[in-house]
Amino acid sequence: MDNMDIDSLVMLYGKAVYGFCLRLAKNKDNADDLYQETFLKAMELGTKIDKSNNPKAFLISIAVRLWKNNRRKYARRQRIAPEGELNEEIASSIMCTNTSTPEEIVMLRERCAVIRTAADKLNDKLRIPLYMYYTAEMSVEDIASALRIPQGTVKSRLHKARKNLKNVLEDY
Amino acid sequence: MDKNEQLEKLLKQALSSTAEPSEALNLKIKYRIKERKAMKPVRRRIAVALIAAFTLIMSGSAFAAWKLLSPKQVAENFGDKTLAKAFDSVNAVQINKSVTSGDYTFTLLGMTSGKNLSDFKSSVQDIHPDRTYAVVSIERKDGSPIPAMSDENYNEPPFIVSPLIKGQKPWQVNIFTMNGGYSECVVDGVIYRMIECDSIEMFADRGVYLYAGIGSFIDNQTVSYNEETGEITLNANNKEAGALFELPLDVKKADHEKAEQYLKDLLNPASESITGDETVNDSEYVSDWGSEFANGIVIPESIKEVTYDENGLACYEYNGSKVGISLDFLFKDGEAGVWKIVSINGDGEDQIAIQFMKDENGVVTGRAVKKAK
Repeated sequence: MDNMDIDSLVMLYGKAVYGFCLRLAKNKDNADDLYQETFLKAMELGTKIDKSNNPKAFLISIAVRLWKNNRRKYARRQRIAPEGELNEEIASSIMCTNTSTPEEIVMLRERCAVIRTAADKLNDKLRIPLYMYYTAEMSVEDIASALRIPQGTVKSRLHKARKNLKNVLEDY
Repeated sequence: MDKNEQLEKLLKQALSSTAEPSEALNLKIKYRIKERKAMKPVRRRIAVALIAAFTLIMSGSAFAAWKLLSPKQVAENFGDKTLAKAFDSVNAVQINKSVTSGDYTFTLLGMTSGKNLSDFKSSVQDIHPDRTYAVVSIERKDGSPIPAMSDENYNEPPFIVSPLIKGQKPWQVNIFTMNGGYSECVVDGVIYRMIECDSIEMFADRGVYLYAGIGSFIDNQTVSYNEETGEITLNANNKEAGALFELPLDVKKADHEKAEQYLKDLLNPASESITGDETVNDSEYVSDWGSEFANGIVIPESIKEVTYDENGLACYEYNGSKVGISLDFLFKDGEAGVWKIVSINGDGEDQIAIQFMKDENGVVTGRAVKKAK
């Protein structure tokens, strides 16, 4: 087994894990905390991390468990320090798209904002697989493995989430 | 591109993230991991002065503590090489006696006494150079891990470990009054608490106990004191977990006269006089602990009136530091407007003293004072 050290883990998967934490936690303080705890926990379980065993999925699954275990703590902080910095990050990501006209960029931003708001309102059963799939870019198989649920269930939850978001967009 | 493909593309755009963790955050993680690897659990030192008390019930049997860290290893974990050596010397006593009470198993691992045994010194040692160090482990009976110090559930419930002297009221003579303190770490789900206080060897001919249990104070709900015999026992009515160990001290090391003088000084404490609201600068501050806070900074938001529990103990809490003490010995008759230190806690340099003051109407107010650097 080729065990990975913390430098390699952070370098290779830091961005993906952080993006996921930020999406899940909704604000920077909670995201920083969750990200940090995820890597600390991962190193505690160090013998289980090897390159051939999908470390990203392993890290994301830890983040999900920590999130679920500490939901009350994060929720409390969320009430004290709601989102903010997250919006800047999102705006910059949309500016990088190839949409041609300024009007289309504005429209795309608005639609993206609607999707994110709607996604945040989904319950965790739908929201977490959604972020694992689109934000952390995990496969259905990896999500199933991380959440310890059948692949069919992951597909069904993703489908429900998409349908929900589609309905919101149509109403918009 | 059909509608589903468009939706898919839109979802990817909306939910992907370009955010990156800051370099400082990554460095912090690496530092914390390095720290953990160095096997140095968080050092937490708490020293408390003056009268307090605590409690508990015990039932159970003794068993070997083969799987636990030794006192030497615990001292090493705290980075105290001198003390680690002392626990390995012939003067140290390896005890390894366990008692299970309630949901917890308390194990008295070992103890040692003497001068200059620790790398960490406080001004108390200028007055009382002989110190006793004892290590107690606390485990959950069902084997589940006790939360780590970084966990928000750490210190729930709080535990207290204190020596008690036969023939002396436990609520008067305990770790709080004997210039005591402790360092604590959680390793593999087990709490290791290393207490230190003025040497208990001088009391060897009287009999010395070590109490360990749930609680923050020692009072008559925790232990019972027989006025006639001087025996101390666990209070059978106490519902909380606790254990009382009899310490195997060498009677030859007893010093009756020194012990008498010590008790006389302890039971008639010199008054620490502090006045002023913003800074503590009274030069008449005579306490060993008090001198370290002579120029301390009062935390304005900490100032509040104390409350009283069902046992009549004055209780105060600020930022997680809880104090519950009897006021019987704190203020002299008619003494008003004088701030007295009732506890000191904190981590290394960053220490905070809790002080009480009684005004002319008998109202007792508490406050926190940060040690000046």
